[in-house]
Amino acid sequence: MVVGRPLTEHELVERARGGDGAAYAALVRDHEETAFRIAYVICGSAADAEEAAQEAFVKAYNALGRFRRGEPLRPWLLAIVANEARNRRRAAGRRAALALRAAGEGRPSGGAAPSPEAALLAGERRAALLAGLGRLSERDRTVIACRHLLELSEAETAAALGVRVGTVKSRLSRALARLRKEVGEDV
Amino acid sequence: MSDLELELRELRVDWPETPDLAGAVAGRLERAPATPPRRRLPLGRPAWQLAAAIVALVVAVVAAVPPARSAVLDLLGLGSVRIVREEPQPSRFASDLALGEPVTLEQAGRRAGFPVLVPAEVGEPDAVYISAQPTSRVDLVYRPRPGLPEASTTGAGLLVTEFRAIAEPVIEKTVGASASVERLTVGGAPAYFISGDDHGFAYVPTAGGGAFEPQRLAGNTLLVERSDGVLLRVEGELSRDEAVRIAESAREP
Repeated sequence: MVVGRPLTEHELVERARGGDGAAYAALVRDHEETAFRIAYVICGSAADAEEAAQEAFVKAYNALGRFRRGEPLRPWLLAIVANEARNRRRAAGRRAALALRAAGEGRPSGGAAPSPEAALLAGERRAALLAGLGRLSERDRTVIACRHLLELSEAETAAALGVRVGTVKSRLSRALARLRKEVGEDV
Repeated sequence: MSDLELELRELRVDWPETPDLAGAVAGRLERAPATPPRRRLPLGRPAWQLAAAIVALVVAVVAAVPPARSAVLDLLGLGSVRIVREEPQPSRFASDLALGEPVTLEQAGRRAGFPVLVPAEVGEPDAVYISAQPTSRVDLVYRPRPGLPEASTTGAGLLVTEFRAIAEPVIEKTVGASASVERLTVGGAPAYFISGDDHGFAYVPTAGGGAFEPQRLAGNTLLVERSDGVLLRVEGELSRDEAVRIAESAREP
């Protein structure tokens, strides 16, 4: 029975190119979380991030004719989203620090539950890292967030930032050095 | 990867909740579908010009295939249904019954913009799909079962489609010369029953772009123009009376 077969990304793109809004919505659904989070890291506000991401997805729909067939869609979409988010941030003229919070416990690294003291220390460390990240410049925190919080590949990060892969590597190492300083580690 | 990088990877960030971007974007595209991604026909023109271009395209396709030219026998029309006599192409789309975004019946009812009726005769569908382009459309798919034999190639037993009818043109059903078209009334509404081996597929011209969206169909088809501007299509290996019974039993779930 072929009724329930989900369409591949390629098929959805082809349908969306032909004007099928539902196919495009399905593509948005696949990428909206990562797109929204990148926009959030760049804008520093959930409301701005939502507007930027929504606007970017509409622009991407209208630009689908320029999307090269056979290429992965995600980097292309993320580039449009990140660009829209940066424009919005610039237009707003705000320089708000990014407020990131840790969600509960980190992944347990061993089998045994950590002692209360260890758990407290780990919690403080997580909070310090995220606070330090939030104080970094938009450029520094975005490259770290793309690579290590959202776990994008170097190529995807390069697309989102609109730079070459080599630039991602050098920008990331400088950003990590500044994060170490923020959290009081020696470089 | 440095220790710091490993630590960052292990952080679980309490991200703000991701908003329903797909829904918001779909809504915006539906409200302003004036800029489709690829233009096959000139846009930004009055609707009649677009409609004329679509008709011209159909004529051109028919004219380009010599055997088809003589097979254009007649053109029947309801308000928003047109039935074109020409030899349908073999079912190129046989393996593709993907009809849009899979949703639940409740979601379809909320998003369709019209009351989605379910034929009490056959009960809740096994799958529901929604599509917004070119017009709001909901497809109810039923698996084969006793009384609903598998339609020759779809793998489905019954397909019930509800289209939001728009002025021009909404649906064209292409039927071959050996298919028969019977005019009926179903629950007081004008209807057509199309039977015979030779009706291959129906297609809906998209309002934006003029591309045809082929639908994979088989068996016999009943088309009913509901008085609320929604077109109901019942399709399967069904006799006329069975199809009419199913259509007549459609009501809000």
